[in-house]
Amino acid sequence: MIDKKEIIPEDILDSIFRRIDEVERDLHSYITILKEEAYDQAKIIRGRLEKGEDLPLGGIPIAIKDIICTKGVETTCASKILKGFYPPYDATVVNRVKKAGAIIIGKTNLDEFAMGSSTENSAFGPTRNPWCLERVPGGSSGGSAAAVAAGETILSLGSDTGGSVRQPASFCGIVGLKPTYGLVSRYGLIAYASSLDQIGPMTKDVKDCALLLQVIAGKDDMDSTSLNVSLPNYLDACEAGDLRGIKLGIPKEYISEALDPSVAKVVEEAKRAFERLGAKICEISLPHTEYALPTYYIIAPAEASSNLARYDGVQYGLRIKGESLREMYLETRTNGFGDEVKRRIMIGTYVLSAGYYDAFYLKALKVRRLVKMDFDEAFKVVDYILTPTSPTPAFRIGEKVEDPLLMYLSDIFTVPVNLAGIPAISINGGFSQEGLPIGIQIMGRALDEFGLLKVASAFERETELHAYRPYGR
Amino acid sequence: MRVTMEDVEHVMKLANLDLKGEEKEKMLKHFSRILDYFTKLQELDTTQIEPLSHVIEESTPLREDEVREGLDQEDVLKMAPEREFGYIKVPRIVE
Repeated sequence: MIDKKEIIPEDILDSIFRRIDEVERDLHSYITILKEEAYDQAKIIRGRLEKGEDLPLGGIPIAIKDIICTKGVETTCASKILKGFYPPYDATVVNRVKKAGAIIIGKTNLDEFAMGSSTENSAFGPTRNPWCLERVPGGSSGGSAAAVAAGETILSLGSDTGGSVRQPASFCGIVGLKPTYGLVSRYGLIAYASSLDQIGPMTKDVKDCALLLQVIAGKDDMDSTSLNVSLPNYLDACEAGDLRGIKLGIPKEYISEALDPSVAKVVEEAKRAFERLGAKICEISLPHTEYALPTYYIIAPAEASSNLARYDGVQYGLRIKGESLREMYLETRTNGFGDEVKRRIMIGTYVLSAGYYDAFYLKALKVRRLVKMDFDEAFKVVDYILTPTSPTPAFRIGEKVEDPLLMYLSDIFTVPVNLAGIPAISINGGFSQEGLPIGIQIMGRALDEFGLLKVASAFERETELHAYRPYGR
Repeated sequence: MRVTMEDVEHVMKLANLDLKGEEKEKMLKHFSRILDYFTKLQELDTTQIEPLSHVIEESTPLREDEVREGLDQEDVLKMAPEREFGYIKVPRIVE
C-alpha cells in the first residue's frame, strides 16, 4: 500500500500509536517508546520513497528487543545495572533495518539479560499476554511477541538463546524464527551466551518474517562468527504451492504422556494439515533429547558468567560507590542484577570452577556434540522436524517464578536447536480450549531458512490460523 | 548433590556478588536442586566424544591488522558513571 502511495508512513504510525495508547497500559510490551523520533523518521522515509528509492521496509514500524544496541537510545537489557546506558553505536541488525527504511518505534521488554521464559524477570515489571492478561507472554522476548500480537507494532526483533524467540511467539500466536547460528550478525546484541545467541524476526505472518530475515541476514565484518553465504530470495519461499516430496519427521521423544493434551491435539491436527499438503510424515528418534536441557543450563550460564563479568560499575551503567574497588564491584553487581541473573552467574561460575569443570562443563560440551549428532542423523532421513514449540500454552503470571527448574522446563523443546546451531521456526498451530494460542515448531538443516519458510507458509495458507488476533483484530 | 553454604560463599566470592541472609539461603536451595538435575548427564558415557564448544568449528578468521577509527573519547566518557580530567574515575587501587 505504501508502494502504491495509498498510505504514507505517518498514517501507519498514527494507527500503531493509537493502538499503543489503547493497550500498552495493560500489556507493558515496551520499556521505551520513541514516538517523536518515529515521526521524525517517517518524514525522512516518506521523502526517500517519494524520490523513488527502493526501500524493502520503507515506512514499516519495528520494535527492537531492549538487549539490542540502538545508537543514542537507552538500552537496558531490562536490568537496573544498565539503566541510563545510551550506546554510541547501532547493532548491525538495527543498522540494516534502518537502511531498509524501517521506523524504530520502541525498545521492548524482556527477561533481564534474556534470562527467563516468561518476561517476569524484568527490572521494569512484567509484560502480559494479550490473549489473557493473567498469563505470561513467554520469554525472554515477551515484549516483542506481545507487541506484534496486539498490533502495537508490525515487525519486531527478538533474540533466541534457548528458545527466546520461538516460545513467546508460540504463547502469543505469532511467527518467530531462530536463524542458523551465524546467519544474522550478533554485533551489538548484548551477549548472554555467545555460542547460542541468535537474533530472529518476530512477525504476524510468514511473509513478513521472510521480508525481515532478508534484510537482517548476511555476512558482517563486525562479527567474526557471521557466515559468508549467498542468500536466496526468502520471499520466493512464500509462493510455494504444496509440499509434495517433502519428508517431515516427528521425534518420538517430544511426544510423551507428559505433554499438555491441548498441545498434543494441536500437533496431531498440524500433522494432518501437512499430510493434506502432500508432505510425508514419519516418526524419528532424537535419542539425546532428555539430556539437552541440563546441557543447556550448564553451557548458557557458564558463558553468561563470563560475559556478565564486565558489569562492574567501572565503564558504564550503574555504579554504587564503595571504599575500595572490590567493594564497588560487589555493591554494584549485588544491587544491579536481579535474582535470576545472579542465580545463573553463580551456576556458571560454579560449573567452570576448579574441581567441577570436567564433571559439569566439559561433560556438557560432549553431550552437546551428541545432541548435534542426533540432528545430523535425523536429517539424513527427513527434510524437516515437526515438534511442539512449548509443552504447554502460556502459563499464569507468578505460577513458576519460585521454582527455577520448573521454569527451565518451558524451554525443553527449543534448546536442542540452539545447541546444534540449526534454524527453527514457530508458527501458530491452533488454540487451547481457553482460546490460548499454541505454537508448532519446524526445525531444518543448517542454512535452510528458505525451506523452513516454505513449509511454514504452506501451513499458514492451509490453516489460516495466523489471521486470529487477540482483541478481535 | 550436596552443596554446602561454604560452596555458595566461595562461588559468591569468585562471581563478585555479595548475597546476604535469606537471599543466600534461597540460593543454596536452588543451587542444590539445579546441580542435582545436572547429574543426569553422568548417565551417558562420553569417553569417546569430542567436546563441542561452538557449532562453527573452523578457526576464527583474522582481519587485516590495519589502523581503524575507534569510538570517540567523548562518546565513551559520556557513558562512564564518573569521570575526571578526560579519564574514567574509580576508587583508589594502590594504597
